Amino acid sequence: MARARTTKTLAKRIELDYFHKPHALRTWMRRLSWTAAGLAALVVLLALRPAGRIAWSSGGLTPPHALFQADCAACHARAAGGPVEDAACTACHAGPPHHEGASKAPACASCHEEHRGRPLLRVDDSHCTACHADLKSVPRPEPAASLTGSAVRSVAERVVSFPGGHPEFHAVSLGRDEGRLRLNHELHLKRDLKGLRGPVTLDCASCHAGDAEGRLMKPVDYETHCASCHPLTFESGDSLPAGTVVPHGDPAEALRRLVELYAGTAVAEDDAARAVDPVAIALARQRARRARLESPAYVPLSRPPGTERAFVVERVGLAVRILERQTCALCHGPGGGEPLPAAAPPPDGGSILPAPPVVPKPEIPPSWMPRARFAHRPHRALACTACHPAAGASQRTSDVLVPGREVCASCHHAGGGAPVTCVFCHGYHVAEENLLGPGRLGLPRHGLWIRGASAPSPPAPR
Amino acid sequence: MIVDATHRGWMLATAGLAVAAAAAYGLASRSAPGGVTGDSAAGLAFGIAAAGLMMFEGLLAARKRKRAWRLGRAATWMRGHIWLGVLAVPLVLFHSGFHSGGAITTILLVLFGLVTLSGLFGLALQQVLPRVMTARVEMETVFEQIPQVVAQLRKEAAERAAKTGDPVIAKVHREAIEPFLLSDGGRAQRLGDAGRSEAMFAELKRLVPLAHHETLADLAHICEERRQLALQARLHRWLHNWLLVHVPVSYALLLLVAAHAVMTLLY
Repeated sequence: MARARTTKTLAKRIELDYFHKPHALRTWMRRLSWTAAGLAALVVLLALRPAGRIAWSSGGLTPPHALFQADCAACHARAAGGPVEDAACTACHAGPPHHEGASKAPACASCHEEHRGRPLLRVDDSHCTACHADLKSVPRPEPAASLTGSAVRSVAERVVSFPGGHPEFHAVSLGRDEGRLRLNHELHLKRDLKGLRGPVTLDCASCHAGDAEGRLMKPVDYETHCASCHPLTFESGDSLPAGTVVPHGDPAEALRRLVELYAGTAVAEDDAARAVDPVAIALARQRARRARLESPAYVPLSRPPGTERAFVVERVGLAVRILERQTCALCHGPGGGEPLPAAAPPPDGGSILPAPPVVPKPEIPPSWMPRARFAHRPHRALACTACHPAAGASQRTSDVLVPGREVCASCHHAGGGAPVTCVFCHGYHVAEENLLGPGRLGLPRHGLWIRGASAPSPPAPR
Repeated sequence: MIVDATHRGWMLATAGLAVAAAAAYGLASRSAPGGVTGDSAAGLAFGIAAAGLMMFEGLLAARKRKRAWRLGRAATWMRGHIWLGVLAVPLVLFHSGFHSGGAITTILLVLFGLVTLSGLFGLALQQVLPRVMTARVEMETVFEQIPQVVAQLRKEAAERAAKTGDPVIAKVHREAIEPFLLSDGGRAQRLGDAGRSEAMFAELKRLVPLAHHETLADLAHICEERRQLALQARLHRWLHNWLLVHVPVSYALLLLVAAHAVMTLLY
């Protein structure tokens, strides 16, 4: 008889209570569910231990904050969630404002994002462009004066990024360098210049050396870089040894030096007495030395008694004119800034002596980009002329030798390899060197760290 | 559950809500320098919404346990489970700001990924396997009763083979049919392959008297039913075993989400 597969025969094969019996899938699902829930509960319990609380954070702490790794309440003092309040940061960090009169000061944690796995100083451009993309809508203080005070420096109103809307550097946009020191770069870079001790060939590094941090170039120093070829001589006659010079940088001191030289004596010990009549004091000391049979290195030409004073005054006046019109004027030419400060006139009016030489200030700014952080050291692989191509041909002080924005942007652009973020060049806080307050923390192993209080006392010896 | 035209409303609503959430995320990102984080207002809103959806997803298990309760149609619950679960994906990503964060949040993201992927895998299988089963398993039975039915098949085959008294059939039953029925019915067995089985029974027909051909046909039919039950078991395992990941991981996820929410409120 052939097999019959009727509904009745098929139904008879099924146990009526089959759904009450354990089923492998449901059994394993239940077992695994309990196991998974148990593991999750175990994770929660482990993470609730003091040592495990960092697990709840939204990311690891940066190394400087590793001290607080297991103490969430050190920063998250408010028990209702929300961002860390500024007080938690300013307990250790001074955190000066963005600029004076800033109308909008974001919370510290809104820019310096912890738990994000990146340094706190790496701030996204969006923090800056939130205002600087449209500064017209943001109240702000009056623009600051430029370095020289001759031009007003403004802030660009629409900057989205360095490639997008960043204005030309101020020093370049002015079109002329505002420095007052007369310097011909082209002339100084010629070969075999006439030096006092023979031919001299200079290069950039002969005068420009980086500071200790490798950031800016140190100011050119007369004694180091100029004096060997440009001595401050003033005497064309035979009353002083050839090559006698006056000190640089202080006209009043130069005048005093002239008086002393021509009087043939050393510097007076008593400044008050010298101030009364420096010529008389100098002559008196010269006579006293001769009386003691001292042998000075140089003995000036003898003068008839009573004529030394007139001689000194005449020669000092002549030397001052030479300095003003020739020696100093070579670099500190006319059209400079305010003259260097002279000493106060002596009480008697000092009528017998000429005024110190008038030397205009060089007005060389310490940095041509005062609102940006720049460091030469990371760029040391580049030749100087790569960024300062016009330096070698520059003949005038007014030539702008600072590279323009496009020079920087040739590497500092998206995909260029060099960083292009706002904070890479610009700092937010006005006084970045003072961001850290006094240290107030102690190591956890030596006692509880203390925030906003005096330094912890060391543990008592046992 | 087959995703068909009845899902169109859920699908459109999910897509609309996801687009709205993305727009809100974009606006929040613009207004919040540094982007949306879990503790920002927008991030918190996304997190609360995602946690709410996860709780609803978890309620499906309770709904299945209380079938008698009048809590809406099971199909509606399943549609909600599918599409609101899909909607939870962008909300979770927006809540996290696309960052994995710390240890717990990383675990949460991994568990959420496992739950989501296993669910989508199961949903994809459900679009295909039921149709395959309908087409290829005509003798389908209750999955849990397959061992019971196979036992009856063995008994039936033994009775029919013994009834003939034919030594050839008895030998074939003893050496081929009974071992095959005892096995998992897979293709490793000679009778596990339909073509080889048909060839074997055609050969047998030439060796036994004509009177026993009907019995041979019955035995071939029993083997065919065993093959189909084996295929049903395989398809059933594919159709349901993903739940062994989806459900347990979901419990762990819900527990950790609750703990995450509590700790977030504290800090």
